[in-house]
Amino acid sequence: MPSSSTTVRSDFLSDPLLVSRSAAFSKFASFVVAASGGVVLLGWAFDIEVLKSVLPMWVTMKANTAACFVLAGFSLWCKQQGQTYPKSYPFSQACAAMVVLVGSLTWMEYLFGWNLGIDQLLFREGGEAIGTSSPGRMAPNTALAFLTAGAALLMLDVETKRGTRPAQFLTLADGSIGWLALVGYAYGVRPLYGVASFTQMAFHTAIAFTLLSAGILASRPSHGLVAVFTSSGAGGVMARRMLPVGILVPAALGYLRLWGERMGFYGTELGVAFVAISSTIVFSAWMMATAQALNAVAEERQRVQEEKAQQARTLEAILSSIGEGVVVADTNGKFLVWNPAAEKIVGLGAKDVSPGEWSRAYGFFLPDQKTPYPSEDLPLARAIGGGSVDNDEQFLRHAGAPEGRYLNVTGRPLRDSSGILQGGVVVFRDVTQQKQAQKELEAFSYSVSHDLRSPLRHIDGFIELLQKRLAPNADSQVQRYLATISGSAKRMGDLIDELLAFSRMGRAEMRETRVDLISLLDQVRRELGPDEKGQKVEWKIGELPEVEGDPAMLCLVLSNLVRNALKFTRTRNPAVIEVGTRGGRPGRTVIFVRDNGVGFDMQYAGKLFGVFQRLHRQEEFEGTGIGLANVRRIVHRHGGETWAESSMGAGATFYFSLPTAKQGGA
Amino acid sequence: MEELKRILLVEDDEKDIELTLEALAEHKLANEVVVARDGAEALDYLRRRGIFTMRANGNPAVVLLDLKMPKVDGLQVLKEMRFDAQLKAIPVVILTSSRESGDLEECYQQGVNAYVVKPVKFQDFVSAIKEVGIFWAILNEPPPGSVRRSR
Repeated sequence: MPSSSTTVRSDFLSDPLLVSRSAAFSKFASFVVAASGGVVLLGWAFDIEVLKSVLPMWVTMKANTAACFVLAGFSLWCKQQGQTYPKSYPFSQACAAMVVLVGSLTWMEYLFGWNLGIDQLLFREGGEAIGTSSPGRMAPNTALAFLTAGAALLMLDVETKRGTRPAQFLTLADGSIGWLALVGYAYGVRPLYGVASFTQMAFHTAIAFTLLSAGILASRPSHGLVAVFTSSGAGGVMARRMLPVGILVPAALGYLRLWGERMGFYGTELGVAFVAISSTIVFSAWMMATAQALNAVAEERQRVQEEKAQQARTLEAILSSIGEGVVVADTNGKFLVWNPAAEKIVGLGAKDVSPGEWSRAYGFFLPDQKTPYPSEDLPLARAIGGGSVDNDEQFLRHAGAPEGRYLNVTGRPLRDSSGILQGGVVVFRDVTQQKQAQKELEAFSYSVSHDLRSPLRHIDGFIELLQKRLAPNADSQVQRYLATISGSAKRMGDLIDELLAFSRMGRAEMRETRVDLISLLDQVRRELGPDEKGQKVEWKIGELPEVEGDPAMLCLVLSNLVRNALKFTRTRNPAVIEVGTRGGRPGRTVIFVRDNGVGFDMQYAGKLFGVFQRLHRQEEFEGTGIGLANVRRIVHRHGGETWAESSMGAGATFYFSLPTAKQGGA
Repeated sequence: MEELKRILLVEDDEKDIELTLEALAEHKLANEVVVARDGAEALDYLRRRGIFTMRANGNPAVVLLDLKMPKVDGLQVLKEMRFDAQLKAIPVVILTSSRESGDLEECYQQGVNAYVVKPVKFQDFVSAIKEVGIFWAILNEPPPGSVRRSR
C-alpha cells in the first residue's frame, strides 16, 4: 500500500503553492501521456500516417509503445496524491506491471534474437517500415525506458530509511532517454534516437517519455529528490532557477552552433568557441541573478525568524504576567505550556502523566466536591480531541490544596494552518472567592428574609391586639395613629419582599426557550384583571413576535409594565393601553407599552429604572419603586435594553428590546 | 359536638407564640395547644422524654413547626419525626417567616404536609392560622394513636 505519511526529510518544508502546482502538472501529464497513446492507437486502427509517425520520413510509434503509454498514463493518473483509493490501487499497479512486462519481453527479443509474437499482436506493420529492424517491434531504447518508467510507477511510494525514493532515480533514466532522443531529432543526429541498426524511437515517443518522467517526478512533490526542488528554502530556489537553464540552454546553444556550421557561417573551432563563450555569458549572468534572489530569500527568512522570535517573547511575557492559568497540550496530552498562574492556581506543575490519569494526578472533582471528574471529559482532554468548552466549573483538591478550590475553565482546540488538530489550550481562573461571596450573599438574604420580617409581624400583630382592646372607647386620633403604624409595618414588609425578589432575579438561572409574547401578555392581563376594577380600559394589542428568553422572567417584565400602565391611567376615562413592536436593529425586537396616563417629566427619565426610585408621591400612586428596576435587570440579562419616553400629562411609552427568536430552532 | 384535637406548637419567639395563640383563640382552637420552645423540647414531648415523661398518651393531631430555632431546628425535627415509626404519620405544618425556595424544597423532600409563610399583616396571619387550624385540627381525620376529645 502507498504510505500516506507526509514526513519530509528536507530541511525546509515544501512550498504549498508549488506542491499543489506540481500535483496539477502531474495530473495533466498523466492525462496527456495516456491520451497521446490512445490517439496513436487510433492512428493504427484507421491507418492514419500522421498519427503514427508525425512526419512521413520519420519512424512510427509502434502499437505496443502506444498501448504502454496508455497503461502508464492511466497508472500515474490513479496514483495522484490524495487520490490513492484502495480500490484503484491494485489496478494501477497491474497497469505498471504490464508496462514493465512489455518492456522486458521486447528487450529479450533483441537480446536473444527471439520473436515472441508480441510485436504484431495489436496491429500488423509492413516489412518496409522506415527505421524499423523488425516490423511492429518498439525500439530497444524505448523498451528500456518503459522498463524503468514501469518500475518507477510500481514502486512510486517506496522510500528508503534515509528518505530516498528509488522511483525518482528510475524515472530519471527514462526521462533522459526521451530527452536524448528529442535532442537527436532537433540536431538531426540519428544515434541519439536509434541504437545501431535497430528500430529507432519515434518523435512523439520521445516527447511522451519526457512528459511521463516529469509527471512521475511531479506526482510526489514533497518527497525525496523532488522535495529539494519544491522546498521553500534557498536550495529550492536555486534548484528551480538553475535546473531548467542547465537543461535547456546547452541544448539550445548546441543547436545554434550546428545550425551556423551547417549554414557555413563558421567552422568547427569557431563553433566550439561560440558555445563556450555564450554558455559562460548566459550562466554567469543567470548565476548572479540567482544569487541575488537567494540573498533576498535569506533576508526574508531572517526577518520572519526575527518576527517569530519577537512574537514568542511577547507571548512569553503575556503568559508569565496574566492572572489566568494557561495550559497547552499536544494531541497526546504532553504539556507544552504551563504558565506561572497555572502553577499557582492548580498548586502543582506540569506532570508527565497520560490524559487518562489527569483527574487523579491533579485531584479534579465535579462541583459536588465528591465525584472525581471523568478524565476524558476534562476541558483540556476535550480540547485536544477537537472540542470546545466554555466556563466549565470544577473543583480541585489534592495534598497541596487540602481545602480545595473552584476553577472556571474554558478550552479550545489548536489547529495548524491546514486545519489539522495539533493539541488544545485551556484558560482558567480560581473562582473560590466568588463562590464564597455568593454563598455569603445567599446567607445574608436568607437572614433578611427571616429575621427582618419577624419584628414587623410582631408590630402589626400587637397593634391589632391593642386596637381590639381599645376599640370601644379609643378616639379617632388614636385609631389613626395605630392604622399608620400598622400600614408602615406592612409597607416595610413589602419592601423587603420586593428587594429579596430583586436580588434573586439577578442570581436565578435563566431557562432560555422560544417565548410567544402574545400568549404571555394574555396571561398577564388575566392575572391583572382584578387591578382593572372600576377602570374602563381600551386595549390596543398589536402584532407581537416570538422571542428568545426565560418565560417566567419575561412574564414579570410585561406584568410590571402593564401594572404601571393601569396604575398611572387610573384618572383617565377611558384608559388607553397599547402594546406593540417597533423596528429595531436586525435580530432584535423592540416592544413597547404605551398609556395615556399622567406620564412623567423626561428630566427624571434617567432615574426611572433605578432601585427604589419613584417619580410620584406615595399618596398619589402607591408602589415600592422596584418594578422597573426588575424590568431593567431582566431585560439586561437577556442582552436587551430598556428606555422610556413621556411628557407630563400626556401618557408614557416604555420600550424594551430582546433578541428575536431564530427561525426553526427552539 | 365538634371534636377538638391536640395541637403541638413549636416556636422559639414568645411574641410569635402569643400572636399564634391569639389567632387560634379567635377561632376557639386555643384550648388544646401544647407549646414547645425549641426542636429539642418538641422531640422530648413527642417521645415522652425529659419534662414530658409524665404526659398523657397519644400523639398530637398536628404539629405547627417553626424552622429557625435554637438547638434543634425545625427541619431537623421534621427529619427525625419522619424516621420514627411512631411519629412519621403525624401531620406537620411549617409556619415560618422564610420565603427562601431552598427551605421550601427541602421541607417537601422531607414529607411536610403544608408550608405556610407567616404574612406580615396580622389579619392575614389570623386567617392563615384559621385555615390551618380548622383543617388539621377539626376536619382532618388524624392517624390512629392521636388523642380525641369531645368538647
